[in-house]
Amino acid sequence: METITLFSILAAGLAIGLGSIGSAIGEGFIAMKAVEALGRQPNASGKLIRVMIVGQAVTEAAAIFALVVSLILVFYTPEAGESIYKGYYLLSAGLAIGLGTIGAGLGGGLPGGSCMEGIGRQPENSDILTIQMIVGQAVTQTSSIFALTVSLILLSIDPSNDIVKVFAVVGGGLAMGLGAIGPGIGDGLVAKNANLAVGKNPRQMGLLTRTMVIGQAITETTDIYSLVVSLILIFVV
Amino acid sequence: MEAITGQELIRAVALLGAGIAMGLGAIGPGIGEGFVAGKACEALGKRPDQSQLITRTMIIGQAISETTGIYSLIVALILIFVV
Amino acid sequence: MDELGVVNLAEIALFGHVFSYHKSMIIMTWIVMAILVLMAIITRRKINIIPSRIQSLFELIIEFLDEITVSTLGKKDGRKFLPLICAVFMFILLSNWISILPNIFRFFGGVIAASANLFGSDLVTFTSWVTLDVDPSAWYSFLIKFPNIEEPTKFIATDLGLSIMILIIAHTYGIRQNGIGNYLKGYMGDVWPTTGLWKFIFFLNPFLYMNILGEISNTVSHAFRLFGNIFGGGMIIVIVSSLIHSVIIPVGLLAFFGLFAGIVQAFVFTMLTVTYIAQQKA
Repeated sequence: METITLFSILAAGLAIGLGSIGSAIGEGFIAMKAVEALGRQPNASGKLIRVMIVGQAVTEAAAIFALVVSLILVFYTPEAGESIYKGYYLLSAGLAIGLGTIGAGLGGGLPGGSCMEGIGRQPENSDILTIQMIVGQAVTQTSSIFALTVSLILLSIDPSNDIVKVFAVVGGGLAMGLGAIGPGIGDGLVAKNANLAVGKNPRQMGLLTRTMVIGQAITETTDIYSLVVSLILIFVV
Repeated sequence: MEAITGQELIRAVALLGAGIAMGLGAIGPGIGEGFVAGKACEALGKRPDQSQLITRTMIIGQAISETTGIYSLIVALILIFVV
Repeated sequence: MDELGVVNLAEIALFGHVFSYHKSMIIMTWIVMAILVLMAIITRRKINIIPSRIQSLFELIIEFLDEITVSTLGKKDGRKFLPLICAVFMFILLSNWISILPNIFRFFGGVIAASANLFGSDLVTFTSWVTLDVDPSAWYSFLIKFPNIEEPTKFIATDLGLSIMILIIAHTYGIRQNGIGNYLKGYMGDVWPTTGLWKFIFFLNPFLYMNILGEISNTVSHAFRLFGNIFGGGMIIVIVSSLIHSVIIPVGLLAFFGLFAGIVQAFVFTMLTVTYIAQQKA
């Protein structure tokens, strides 16, 4: 039983420690671009700060997912006679959410930054830029939602007594965690460039939002492969 | 914890390896496809009249960037079901 | 949180095999279809130049999708596929949104309970500022205990069914558009020659297998994209609700995962459907 608690505490630390890297950098990037824009347009400070806080709040979502899992892990109380292999499941859940939110956090920061840039150039476009930013950031969170799903599944299923299965479960957690980094950043890059384009050409917003959402959906494909492999490793093997 | 030997060890490490293969293999295509779609959006902002051509090129470019991701998927599935 | 690890599958014996199916998935799918058909019948009855509210809603959806399909597939084929695209979009949208209903009841139940507590009712007790316990004898307790409605799209069977349907439609269209010979040639890639004796050793062509795998992975990712988002969102709401026993906090989450992610994912699925059909055209 102590072994399981040991693993759950280790996993809680890994989850929130790794999981806050991305969001922190992403939010810092938004604030950096906001300060830069303020230097250019000091009159638009109210708008800039309001939109900055909205963008940072959405970027924060990834870190909040990691926090939820981390809290569940910290307060995890093993049942009497629970197999010690449950510890590996918990560790795997922590790795999945910790690694998996790095990409979404970084990716959420990129469109926020380019939205700041656009408002700094033309403060009158702030409304449509904000909408565009939120849509882009929300789709970017998909990779962290997948990581959270796998992590919660790992937390709630009963452990197997087969050591081979334990290796498979750790592999599943790593697959989802590592696999969510790239698509998260990639989604952010798409949204960033789409935001910049909307800032320059606000009349084409409908077309650009449409293209951005398709581009992000296709960018997420490898994330979905990771999800499938991870679910196979957890349930089928 | 009981000892693990021989064939079981190979199977266990193969499964762990499948996870790592898919995980690491998904990083590159993800970022790469993001670049493609991002630049497509930029181009679309400049030339909205060419939207069909740009979108089609974007989808083809992303499909090809994804090839290495599919390789990782194949390797992961081989490690899970064949090894 | 107890409902997470539970799988309730009903089983049916047919031709000596045992098939399992999810009861609530089938019931909910039929309910969604019934609502859509009913709405269509009601709108169809009193169609007017000056649109009623429900008619203008349908017109909005159809005009929006019409622009996309016609600009991607051309006027003739775009109009041919428009009914399919609209049906897919509306089915997925309503499926994603239908689980919001019980949560609206829960929210109003929570509001009533909170205001009852304010006027000194002893049926409600606040255990902390977000958590409240309601006595089951209060008349509004049924609102809070309203049973969960599960989205049909939360189950992988629905999503895979839809994406396989799209795969078959797109490829049938490709064969009819290009002829079977050109359609098969498309799998060979540009490098491998398709003349003379090369035809008979087509199975040595590595591009063939890559292309077939690409098609399969397209279909799988099409389904799992919808499944992962809806399933994940539902799971987050269940976990957070059970962690804080609150009826008020999950509303914000619901607005994001239910309303917003629901419409974005329905749109993504529809757009990719149009894209997959358009890819077969060239």
